[in-house]
Amino acid sequence: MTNDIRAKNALPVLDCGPNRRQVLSGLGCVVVASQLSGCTIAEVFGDTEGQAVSFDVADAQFAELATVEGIATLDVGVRKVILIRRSESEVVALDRICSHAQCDMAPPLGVWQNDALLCICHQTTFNVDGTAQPGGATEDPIEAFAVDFDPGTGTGVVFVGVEAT
Amino acid sequence: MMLVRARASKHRRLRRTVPLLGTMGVVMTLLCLTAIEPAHALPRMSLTAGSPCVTCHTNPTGGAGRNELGFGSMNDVGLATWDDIGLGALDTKKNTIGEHVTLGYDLRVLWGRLGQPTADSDGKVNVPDYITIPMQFQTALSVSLTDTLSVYGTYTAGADTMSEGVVCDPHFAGQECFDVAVQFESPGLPMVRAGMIQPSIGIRLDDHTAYIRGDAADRGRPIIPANYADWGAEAMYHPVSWFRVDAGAVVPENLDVSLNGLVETAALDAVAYSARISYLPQLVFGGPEPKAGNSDDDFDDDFDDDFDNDAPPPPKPTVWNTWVGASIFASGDFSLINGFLGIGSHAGWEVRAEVSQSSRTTRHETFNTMVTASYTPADWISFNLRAERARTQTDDGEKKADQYVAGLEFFVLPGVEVRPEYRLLETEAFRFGHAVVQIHTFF
Repeated sequence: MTNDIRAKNALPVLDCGPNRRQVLSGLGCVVVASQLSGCTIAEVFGDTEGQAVSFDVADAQFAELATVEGIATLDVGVRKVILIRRSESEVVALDRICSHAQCDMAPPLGVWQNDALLCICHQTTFNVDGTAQPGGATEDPIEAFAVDFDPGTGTGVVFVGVEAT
Repeated sequence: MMLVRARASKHRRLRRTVPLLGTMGVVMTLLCLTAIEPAHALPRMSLTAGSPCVTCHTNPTGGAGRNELGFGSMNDVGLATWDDIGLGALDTKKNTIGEHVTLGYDLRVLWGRLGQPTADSDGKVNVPDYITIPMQFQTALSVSLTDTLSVYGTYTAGADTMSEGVVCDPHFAGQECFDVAVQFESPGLPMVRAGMIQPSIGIRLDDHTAYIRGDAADRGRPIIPANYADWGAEAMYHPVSWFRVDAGAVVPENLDVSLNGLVETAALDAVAYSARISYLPQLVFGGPEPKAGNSDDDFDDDFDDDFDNDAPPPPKPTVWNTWVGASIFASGDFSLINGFLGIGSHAGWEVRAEVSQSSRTTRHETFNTMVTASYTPADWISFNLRAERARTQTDDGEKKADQYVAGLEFFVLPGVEVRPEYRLLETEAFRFGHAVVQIHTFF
């Protein structure tokens, strides 16, 4: 694949009870944690645009797709994709990042069951069109990408960034 | 695989949020460092004490389940006691039933951002929300059968155990929900354990997020996950304080799941072999000088005489415990080689470094390094720094994960630990820094 991704040691002996200084320092440390919680750094490198990427079940990376319900994963730039052999003739491609808490649904966190993708982080289930089933942790959908799959040759193309129709 | 259409790569800085309050955090950290009183005289585990894990744990590789010494040691550690806060009834006085049964548990909850930043097609960066997740609930039981024979085991519940009654619910591929072993221990002979065990591989860490046994190409699928175990046996021979060797063999069923669960990457044999050798010299500097011509036995008498004569106490020696060692865990085309060294002092300082290299049948080679440092100024608090560099070479090129962690272990009460950390992780695809707080309760 030529993805151009830049894209305790403490054993005991406390020989006196805590004094005020210790308590204050302990509280100070807790304050540090609470202050740091507001300090989030997030940068994403790479191409966020769509790409069309070919795959072949003969490749080790996609070997699981040789059988129905097999799963493979694919990173395209900053996009993370899960490919699922839905039937003999169809492979579906979904955004792997759950829309609820951004869990990466690569197995084992993503489970294919009952013709849907279950994110076991918080039990949200996504249909093959990316919509979330009722009763999960979110109603926000994930993206479903167009796939052109030839079951005869076991090869196909996933169009990352292009919505499945 | 062919890239049909690709666009020029772009490097986008999409979001950075650093509130001014972060500066206050630095100030408060300095306050923490200066407000803490000097350490008392302490016995310490591991590098700061020069004691192996089995000194305090029922499992010789550590983990939940403490023996009498381990329980007694930790049961007094805390900024406050249960009595201090009016909850003396919660003070666990012992972890034994009768003379032969020992209980333990380890409950860990994490508050943090689970996952990684992502970008929409329009360039907007999303970060995972802060959530609270149960990391681990592990129970431990050990039974002393005879003076030389004991049985220990743990069971770790998963997320679905409580909600759906799934008894065995491991989070990571290759992780096991239990371990159990029969252990033979007799003075002068090697300790032998057999059962569902984790072989001795490098230094077993308390932190499950470290990458030293991980895989930069698939960060959610470590080579050796936390609580990895397989059926087998291992012998540990520690004839003198400065030398130890571990050797064993397991049936690598869970290892097969870890390495080959998604794609076959390593042809394994029916057995996996492990071996670890450790050189553990203790370096002592200073202290009272023995008088010329005296034997070691005389020295003790002279030491006491000094006190009897009201003379100034002799200077305390500076003691450094050190580790140097290496391990190999291999089966078929898979091998994992670790090298490690460390030094720690009774004053509470400790520095460790570890490297690991693994290879498989297919081109999938990892080379990970880790350096950690800690300072324990008082028994209820410890400051930690960790830097990690993970690299994986595959046919798709090199994948990387660099992680930096700064945090502290804060024992609020006996058996209650708060572990705030700041973690910065950088891969080819993203840079992500955020605060995490773990809460551990245990006995």
